Amino acid sequence: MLRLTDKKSVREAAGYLSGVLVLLLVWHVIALWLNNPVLLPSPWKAMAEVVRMFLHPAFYREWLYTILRGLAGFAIALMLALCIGLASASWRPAWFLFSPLLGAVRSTPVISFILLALIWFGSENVPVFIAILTMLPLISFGIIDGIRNTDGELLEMANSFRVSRWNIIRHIYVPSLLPFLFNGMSNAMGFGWRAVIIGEVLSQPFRGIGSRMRDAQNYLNVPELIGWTLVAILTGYLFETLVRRAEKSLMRWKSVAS
Amino acid sequence: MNTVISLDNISKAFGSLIVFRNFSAEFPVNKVSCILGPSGCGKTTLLRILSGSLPPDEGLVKGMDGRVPAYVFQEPRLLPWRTVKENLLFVLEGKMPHQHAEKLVSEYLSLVDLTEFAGFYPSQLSGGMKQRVSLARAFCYPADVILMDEPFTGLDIRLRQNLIRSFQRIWESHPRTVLFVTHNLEEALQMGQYIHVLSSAPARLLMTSENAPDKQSFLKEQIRALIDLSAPDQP
Repeated sequence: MLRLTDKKSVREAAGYLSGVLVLLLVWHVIALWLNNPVLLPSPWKAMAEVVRMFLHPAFYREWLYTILRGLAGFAIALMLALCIGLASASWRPAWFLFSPLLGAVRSTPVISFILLALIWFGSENVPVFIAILTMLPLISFGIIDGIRNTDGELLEMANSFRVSRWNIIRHIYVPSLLPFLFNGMSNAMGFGWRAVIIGEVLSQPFRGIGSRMRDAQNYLNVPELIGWTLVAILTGYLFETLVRRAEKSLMRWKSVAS
Repeated sequence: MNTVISLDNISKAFGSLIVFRNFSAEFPVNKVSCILGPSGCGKTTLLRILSGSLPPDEGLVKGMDGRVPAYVFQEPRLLPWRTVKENLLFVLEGKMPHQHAEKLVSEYLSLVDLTEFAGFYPSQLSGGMKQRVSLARAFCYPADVILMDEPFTGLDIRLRQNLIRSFQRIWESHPRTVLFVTHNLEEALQMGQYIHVLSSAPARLLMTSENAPDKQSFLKEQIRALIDLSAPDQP
């Protein structure tokens, strides 16, 4: 049984790997054809650039700042979303107040927030603010959907056995909520990093991936720009994976064979 | 304490739908009473009035004071994220010391032959096994009255027989007042020590009889003459 799934996952990994290789090959061919390393370096050169960056201690400082901004934004968004989500799911007036607001925030282009934030705040705070605004509706709607999807029949059962309010919350509401919350959080992680980096590019705080991307652009340093981009992709992927891992370990009951 | 639980001149309507009008019935304590009636005649409403979760418009429920009810629903209604054992502990928690609860859980799981499955999640069990867990959950609960709302509906005959045997074993070792609602005549005759036959809504009590093995064929014919139970098995 286990061996079978192992084989399957190996085959899957090989599939993804060959997909990536094909893409790199296409990139390589285009770079060869353009034959202009300033405009488009070959993938190997870009990767060499990433490796060079990784070897440089200053790089980690820049990366760390971006990561801290993203995590701070995520933590604040999560706390606000818990308050808003719990209030909206359990109290109608709160839902009428927050749902149009969250809907509007979700549909607003990130650039509008950045332009406003540049006027309102100092440049150091813009990326975190943007991160919060991007993540907040995703997590909040996740929480609201989760609470609304709680199985009424299970609640009726618990009430008929006079289970305490606290145990109903702990053993029915929370487990029903978790998959929705995690879905919201992993979406937030995906969109959040992009928002942080856009914010950094435009507000140019002292340190951060976005600030260095802007520098690279100013000096027409395409390999470095691509290098930072790869780092940004890696960061988003890393944190989304982290959220998925946490989800899996919290919901072991879902992965048992049926 | 009373030796019967009774409904005294109960009336209940939902909007213009009259479910009960001056309805009275008596259910002896520590016996299994089957309430047999066509689909939609208000059997579930009757259980809810008895358990106190639905107040009648008029009339009185007698003999339920100080008696705690427990439900076996039509669906198993197990928490999918908790194991079989944890599902039983869930309803016992806070009502007794934890050690005592653990002891009860293992005792009742063995009565329904699920000891080896204590650590399984509901998704790993068959439909019949899940309903046995639900049966054990109601009986391990410190309840005096077990209310069963068509719990075997939707299961095939073999599983039904299996569950009825589980029920009989668990009831014989720990007798409780059981009110078992069904629209299946065979099931009622097999399980009930008393049979109450209801008409379609507004429900009247068409017949009340003590059940005995030698009376069954006679009862069967009488009941068939009274009501049409040919309604489909699924609600």
